[in-house]
Amino acid sequence: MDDGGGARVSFAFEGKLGDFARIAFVNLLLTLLTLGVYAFWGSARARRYLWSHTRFIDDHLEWTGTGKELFKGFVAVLLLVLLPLFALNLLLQSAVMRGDTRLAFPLGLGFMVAIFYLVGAAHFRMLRYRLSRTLWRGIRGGSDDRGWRYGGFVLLRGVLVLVTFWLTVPSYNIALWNRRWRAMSFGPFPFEAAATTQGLYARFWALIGLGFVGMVGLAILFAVVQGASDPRVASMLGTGAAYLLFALIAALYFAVYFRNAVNGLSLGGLAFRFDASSGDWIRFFAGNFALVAGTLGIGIVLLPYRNWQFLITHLGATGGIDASRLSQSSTAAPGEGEGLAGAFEIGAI
Amino acid sequence: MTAPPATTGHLYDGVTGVRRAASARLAEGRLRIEARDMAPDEVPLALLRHTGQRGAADTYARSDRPGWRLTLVDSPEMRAALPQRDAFEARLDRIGLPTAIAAGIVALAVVATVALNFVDWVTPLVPDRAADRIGSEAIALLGEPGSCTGTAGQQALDRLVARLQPGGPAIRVHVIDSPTINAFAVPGRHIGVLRGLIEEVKTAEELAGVLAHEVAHVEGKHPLKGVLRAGALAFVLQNVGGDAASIAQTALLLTYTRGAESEADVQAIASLRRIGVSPKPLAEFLSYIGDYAGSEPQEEGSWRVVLRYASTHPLTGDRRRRLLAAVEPGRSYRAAMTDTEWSAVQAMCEAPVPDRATR
Repeated sequence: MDDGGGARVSFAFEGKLGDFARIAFVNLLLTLLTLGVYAFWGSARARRYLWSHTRFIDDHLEWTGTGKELFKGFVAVLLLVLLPLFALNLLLQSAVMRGDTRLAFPLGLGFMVAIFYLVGAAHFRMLRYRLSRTLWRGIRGGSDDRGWRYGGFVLLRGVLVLVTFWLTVPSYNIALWNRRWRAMSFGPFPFEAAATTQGLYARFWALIGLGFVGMVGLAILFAVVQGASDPRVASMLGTGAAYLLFALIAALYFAVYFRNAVNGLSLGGLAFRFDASSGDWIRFFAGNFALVAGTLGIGIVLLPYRNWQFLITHLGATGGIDASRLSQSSTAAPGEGEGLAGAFEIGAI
Repeated sequence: MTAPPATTGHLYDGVTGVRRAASARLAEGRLRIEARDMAPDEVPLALLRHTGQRGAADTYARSDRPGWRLTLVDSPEMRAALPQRDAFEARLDRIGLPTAIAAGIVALAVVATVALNFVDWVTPLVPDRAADRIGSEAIALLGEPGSCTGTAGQQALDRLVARLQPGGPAIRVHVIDSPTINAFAVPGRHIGVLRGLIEEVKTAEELAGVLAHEVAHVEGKHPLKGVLRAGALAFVLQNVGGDAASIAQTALLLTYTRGAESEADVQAIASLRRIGVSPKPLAEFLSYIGDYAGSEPQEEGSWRVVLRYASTHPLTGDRRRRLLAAVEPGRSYRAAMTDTEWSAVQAMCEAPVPDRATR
């Protein structure tokens, strides 16, 4: 490419909230009118807008995914995954109801393992699908790995988290990120993921401390308010404060996790950077909350815009990429969309 | 033929990421493209698809070359001659922001209205037979059939409930052999009375009060409404042949809305008044059971704990006050049943004695 190596190159987001809102509200209307079916086409349209208003160096991204393939992915998951899980859950519930622990225990365990495995695989497959539908200079990304083994990896690492009483969550998060991205590529270049937990454990322990102090504070607050007024008011206040505390902890954790994760990522001569500070994350969370609460919920349709904008604005890269070596991806493109991820409500964009 | 002027732009060939300056002109239903370092290419228009517009620039893809993108700048004539963007998309794009917001809000309001009234609209549409099937299933889940079947007691209960009913098909009372103190209505026309309740009430009038309340739930179809509220989807699946047991479980663990509880109390007071039984014993039973629920340790290891009367019927001061206020001073109230009948009801769950069974 024309840019020399070593230079700081960057992503830029050129969208306008008003333009996105026109798409989002029309999507909402059509989704309701079609009893939900249009949601897949609406989501593809929203992404086309976000991608096409995202510039990397000298060219814009293009989203090539379609509503039809998202819909196909959803139907496949409904039939192959959700219905069997639903049946398993019914069996489990009736076993619990009858007090049949010999059946309920293995069923319950099997149900949890299945969910955990599938959520892991879904995460991987969502990333693979999105890369395969992202075009830059006519080139797309992807992965030849279908993600089923990644599900097993998530399960094993999950067991490790369990037996360490959740004290290894930072290692778990980083290991999963690295494993996922190492399987991905863009054009001929594989992603290299070498994220570390540097500084993440310090933040993790501090947040456990904050959580503990916060819960004690909440309990005191709850007792005081409950004595002084209607218990329903007290329970609403308490719930609200607990949510705020949780959001604050999540924002502060994500700030370090995501910076570490992205900063360890590189592709062909490009090293990626993410520069959002803890304050940026708190403002981002607070802004999302205000947008949803201030519009009595309807603002939720604008969140994909804010999420993407936050991601792209803080994303950068150093180095360069050689356009003459950038050739078309040879990975097999998945035929249908991220049904599995949709089913488990992951993926914010 | 006079060739139209060439339009300029750039091309990605989908093979490498190299950006090439390109020019294109129309020639006999084809687009002739010339680009740096490339042999001239002629693309049939049918292969082209409009993929995006940015200002005065239009981008086209071709269906036989993944990643191939041709962007042409500033040529309305060319734009008119080449495949247009998707008509439906173009139409959606013309919708203005105020219209879009208004439409979204109206649609959301409609959905909210439907969601809030869904149960009231759907309840009358459920066939009585379907509701009754769920109810029978729920009763069967709890009861060991045939354990509390003293004929005389059953007849006494049936007579009492028939008097408490304002009309309609008979409500069936099922006495179930369980130590839990509770009575409940399930979808259809069934009331379950647990042995614990019969043992715990001091008089037949207290039992009559509880039954009057449950009869009102049956008449108001409250259990069915609760089931619908709890799981519309599960209900649909049940009717296409799914697992009835899960819905039956839901039916047993229902708690009603405040509105339904208070409606049931009002109806119970009315039916007690009609048959001349005082609402006061019910109020007393509620105070007693309220204190009792607070002081008694929970039975361990039994899921039936969740079926305690106090857990499915919130005991509020309001309920008690309403019942006491309905007591008419100076009215002489009657007994709910004869002493013989009441003894028979109390004996229903005892091991059947052959001579009583034949008597």
